[in-house]
Amino acid sequence: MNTAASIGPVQFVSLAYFICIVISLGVAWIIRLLFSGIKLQRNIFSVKAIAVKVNEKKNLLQQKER
Amino acid sequence: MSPTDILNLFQGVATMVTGDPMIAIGRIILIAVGITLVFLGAKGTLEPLIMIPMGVGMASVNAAVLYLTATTTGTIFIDPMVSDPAKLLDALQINFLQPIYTFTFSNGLIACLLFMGIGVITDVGYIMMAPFSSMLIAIFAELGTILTFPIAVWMGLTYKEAAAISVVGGADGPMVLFTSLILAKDLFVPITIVAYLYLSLTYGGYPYLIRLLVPKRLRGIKMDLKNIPKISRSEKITFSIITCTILCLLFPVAAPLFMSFFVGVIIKESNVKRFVEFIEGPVLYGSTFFLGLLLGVLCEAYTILNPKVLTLLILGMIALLISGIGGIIGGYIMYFLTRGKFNPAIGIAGVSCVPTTAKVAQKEIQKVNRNAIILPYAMGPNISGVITTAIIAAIFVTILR
Repeated sequence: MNTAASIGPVQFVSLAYFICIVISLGVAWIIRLLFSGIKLQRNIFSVKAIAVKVNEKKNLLQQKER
Repeated sequence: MSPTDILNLFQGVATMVTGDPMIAIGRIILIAVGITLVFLGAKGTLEPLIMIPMGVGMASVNAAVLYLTATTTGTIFIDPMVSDPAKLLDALQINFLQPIYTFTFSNGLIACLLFMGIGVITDVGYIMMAPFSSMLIAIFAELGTILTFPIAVWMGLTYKEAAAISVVGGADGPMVLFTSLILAKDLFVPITIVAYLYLSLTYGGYPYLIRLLVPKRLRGIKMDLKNIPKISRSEKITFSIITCTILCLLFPVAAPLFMSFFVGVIIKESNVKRFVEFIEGPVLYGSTFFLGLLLGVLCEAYTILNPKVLTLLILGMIALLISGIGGIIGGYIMYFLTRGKFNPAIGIAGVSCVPTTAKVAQKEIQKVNRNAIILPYAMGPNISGVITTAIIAAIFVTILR
């Protein structure tokens, strides 16, 4: 309260708005980060799944060739 | 039997005749206002869930003033000013609404219960599909809160009172209640009443603001609904718990509000049906009913006739007007950033009156272009508005408390 009373209302509210902008954009950034992490994980899973399938097909082909 | 004795039989009338004429006039006006609120609520012009119990409470409490002792008058509804423990115990045994006021209102519990209800009916997926644009619009829609604060100080309010009334710009009833209870306890009744009164009027006023600031051509812009990403429940839960923890860590004073909101969201996304039904039914509607009733009962002439009420009425209107304009400015910025692909009227949804402002935007846009569906895009800024308002309120409370 003392800090707030020592500065004018415009300065006080500008400071509050600045903090609000930083935190709000921070929340948006968390969402973006979360999404990119989840997407990356999904990609890794799908690449792994494809690799497993390719391996299975390779094995089948090799067995057929034999 | 003298006329005075007969009058004393009907103490509501006796206190009006023998008391201060200004208070008597105030009581009559408030009774009339209460009756009007009931009719406007029943008609649907104002929000019926709040206005009907509030109107009944307002009319009844101002009629039912009686002699508590030979010299003092009051009611047996509630005593909001009692603080001495012994007197409080008496009040709890005499005033029928005192237990609800003392145990749910004055500690902010009712605001938290309402926030839980809002959480349960909120889908955070909308904000997650376009986080930056949603937050940007919501930040602009906070301009009402920001600009009203210095105006309120210039009009003679203290920093705490100014902060409490300027939060009306966030258009979030429980948030106003929470902030004013902490920062301006003497003024929380008129501030909360001003907030709820204006919030029910936004549904009527904001369409005109959209029509005034957004030309017909731009109001008809269709939004792309094909490329909306699907958000899974686990993603929503992860986002909610992380954001809740971070916000509680940053602003412990407002942690009850953050926790209440996000616990609602998480319960909904976890699909715990019994809890969802309990919170969105009995908790949300029960709290809304008692909030309305208590606000009405608190509108007793002695409490409400405060010289600052007119100032609060003006400031509340300024806050909501600037917030609406700010939201539309945010909408225009998104319109320019996306090179004309974003409908600027969506900006009004940044004012966090969930989901009223999003519905208002959808309704106004559909009047121009029947095929334009913008609700998924409007809900993002709408929910972001709840978060930005909570952040600003938390900053005010933390610094000024």
